[in-house]
Amino acid sequence: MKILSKSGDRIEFLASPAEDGLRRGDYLLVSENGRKLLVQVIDIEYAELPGMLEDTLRELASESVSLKSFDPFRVGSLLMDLKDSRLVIGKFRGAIEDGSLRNDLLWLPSRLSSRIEKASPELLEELSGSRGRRPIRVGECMGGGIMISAEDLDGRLTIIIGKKETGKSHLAKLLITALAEYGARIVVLDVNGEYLALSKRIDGSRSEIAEKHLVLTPGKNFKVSIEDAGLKTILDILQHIRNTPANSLREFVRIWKLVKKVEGKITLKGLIDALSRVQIHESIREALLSRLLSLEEIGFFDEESAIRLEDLLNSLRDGGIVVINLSRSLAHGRRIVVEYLLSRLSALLTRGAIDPIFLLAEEAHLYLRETYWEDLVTRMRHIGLFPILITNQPNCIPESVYRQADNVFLFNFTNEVDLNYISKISRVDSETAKRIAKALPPRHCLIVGKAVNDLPIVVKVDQIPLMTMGETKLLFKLR
Amino acid sequence: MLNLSNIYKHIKPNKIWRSWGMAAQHPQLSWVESAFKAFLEAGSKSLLEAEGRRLYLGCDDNLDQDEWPQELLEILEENGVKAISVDLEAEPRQVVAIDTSSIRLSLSSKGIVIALRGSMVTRSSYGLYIEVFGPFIAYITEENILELLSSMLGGVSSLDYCSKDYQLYNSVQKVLASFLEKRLQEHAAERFRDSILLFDGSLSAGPLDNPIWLVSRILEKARPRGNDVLAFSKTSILRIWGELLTSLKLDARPPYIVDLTWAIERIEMRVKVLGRTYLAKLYDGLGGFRVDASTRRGAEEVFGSLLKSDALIHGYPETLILAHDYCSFTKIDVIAMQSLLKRLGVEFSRSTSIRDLLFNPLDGDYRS
Repeated sequence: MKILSKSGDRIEFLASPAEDGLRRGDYLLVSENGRKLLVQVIDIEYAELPGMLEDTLRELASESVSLKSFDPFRVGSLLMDLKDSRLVIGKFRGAIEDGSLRNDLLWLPSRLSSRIEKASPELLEELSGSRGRRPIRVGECMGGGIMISAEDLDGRLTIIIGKKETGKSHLAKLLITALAEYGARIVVLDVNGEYLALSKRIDGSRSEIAEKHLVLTPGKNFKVSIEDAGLKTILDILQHIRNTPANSLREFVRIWKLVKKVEGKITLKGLIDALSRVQIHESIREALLSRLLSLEEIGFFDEESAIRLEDLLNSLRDGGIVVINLSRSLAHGRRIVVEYLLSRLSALLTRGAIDPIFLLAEEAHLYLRETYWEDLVTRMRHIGLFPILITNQPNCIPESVYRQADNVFLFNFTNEVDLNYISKISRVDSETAKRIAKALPPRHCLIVGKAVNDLPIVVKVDQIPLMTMGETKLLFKLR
Repeated sequence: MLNLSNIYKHIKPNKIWRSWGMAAQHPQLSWVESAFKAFLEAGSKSLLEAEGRRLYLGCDDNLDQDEWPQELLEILEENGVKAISVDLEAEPRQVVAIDTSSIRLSLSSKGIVIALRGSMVTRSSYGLYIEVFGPFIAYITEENILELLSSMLGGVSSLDYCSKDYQLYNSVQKVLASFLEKRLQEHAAERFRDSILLFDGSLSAGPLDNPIWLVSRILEKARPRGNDVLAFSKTSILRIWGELLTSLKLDARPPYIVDLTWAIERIEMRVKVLGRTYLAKLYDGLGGFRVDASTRRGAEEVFGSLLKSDALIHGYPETLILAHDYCSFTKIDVIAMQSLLKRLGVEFSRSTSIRDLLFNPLDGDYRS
């Protein structure tokens, strides 16, 4: 392999077909006189050779005729190699000096005499490894293990994206179980019921995480009091989810305060009773009553068997995974639960009533209202709510979220429109993201960001022995 | 892997050839190896001399044919000419076209490294059959010129010339290519029967690259086997003959041929043409070709059979074009052969052009 050219951060190598075995994402080390350059392979193409069109046309035309060749010097085999010469496209990731990766060094190795070899797994581990004390093994790259650390996710915005069935949830499970083992608390918004069986191993036995795994199903074992939710949360629900007009909301605030004053506490039943009796415009009464009755109907607000979120979270002293099972909820019920959760967690964190928490939100666009995105990546993150967002529809996440993401685990995408969205990730150049994402096999992802010391790494994600529950129920499998 | 199939190993032999027993007409490996054994040995030996030597790149593969003198035009205008109609009722026949190509790969103060390749294209009612011979590579120096030339001719012990007759940097490449071509022509003349053998160039004999004895021997071998030889000359002739036809205002519609042997004989020429020389205008477009013919049948019948058997592209037989295509060198061929030489220990430098040094000192080296 020889260096052919360098333009900006793009480096091209000429390679013979015998040097096959490179994968997208592999690292090459170009060294000369003790200095080293780290280059990541992002694609491999055929080299453009002079006269190639003419030669290929000739070969093509020869396919329909009988042809024999007497080639005493075996030039033919050399020709074959030449015609199959590869153009390896790489991205400059930095020069290595004193064991650290630097981008500010102006040095180019010799085209002819520099030595080009695959980077060792140890080197990659050293360069990409973070300084955290809580390692999480994610998978392997170029034959070596790739570790990130729990600290790299702590206080960060993490995104896991990729098309369906590429292994996103699998990685998410790997991350949250590791975080929980280190004592972190994670709230999982589970719309597909994929995280319900983390307490079981594939063989059906109890998993190590079983003690820390808690499934809450809204309306069943997850009910809250409306007073605990608070006026602001209920107003948000009425305004954003139930589209309540402003004048009705004003009346609702008045009634809320009235009930509090008369009864000393707020209950959903008390609010409905008050609304039925109080003197109010009939249309507003109707509007508010229908909405409160629908809240009552989902069974989530129930003063008698309500649990206190802060008590529940604080009971998980050694960490735990709280799965909010939204798989059975209807769309608006799902949004009410999420609205409550975010609002409540935000309030609890601001008050310091609970420790910082991770929030794993899968397909968040299905239940997260527009105004929350910005709040998630700015304010909430600062008060201690660290989102891990998972989606297969990159266009559903606002651009600002990509730009502020600290860690991105990028799985396969083939659609150009999707690829254009992911190219907005600010921690990696768009060419790398597009070229690598397009060709990632299932269970392989490109990690960019703090978790890998800003050295993009393609990882084959490790298997975890936990029951997945993410599979689609199939008709023919049942018969 | 058998050398014969190195390059085109993915192309399977045409079933028709085998099923009709045509394989017997095609050269066995033993023939190819034995025919070029002497040259391969001499060539390989010569390449050993190139080991460790610094050679320069920047070559020219132009192999122009001799042009006919301009005074021929004046003679024809004085005497007038008559067109002979091509016999369109003639029977179709097997057509075999032979061509060779050569290229200079590099040069040094002592000699040059050249590569030669020949091809033979056979077209019959069964389809096309293409054979490629080479590339043959040799490092030619003043010391080994005669050995290499002689070995190319299968070990002819004494050529009529001494090494000083060959200009190392000019004519020897052309001579060696011509000798390879003659070997293939001779082989075709012996191997095929009742075929039309198409050669590239002319049947002129006399210059160093076309010894009379050799050209005569080929034609003598072709005749008893019922083969007719047509040699098409394409270089520069097309333009001259186009003008000629226009000025003579022949009262004929193509396809026709014009016998110009008498005119050629009247001109004092350095070479002897074996056979008859025609201006062949086989299609309706502009111009025509000089065709030297050595035939047992009437020329009009042979040309008629050619028209029935082969496609013409601008009046030129397609099999000859194919033969040219399959022997000519592409840039990738050159790169491959130069890489082979590097493996043999040759070091390359880019030659310096005085023109570029003077006029294009910055980028002249890369200008075409």
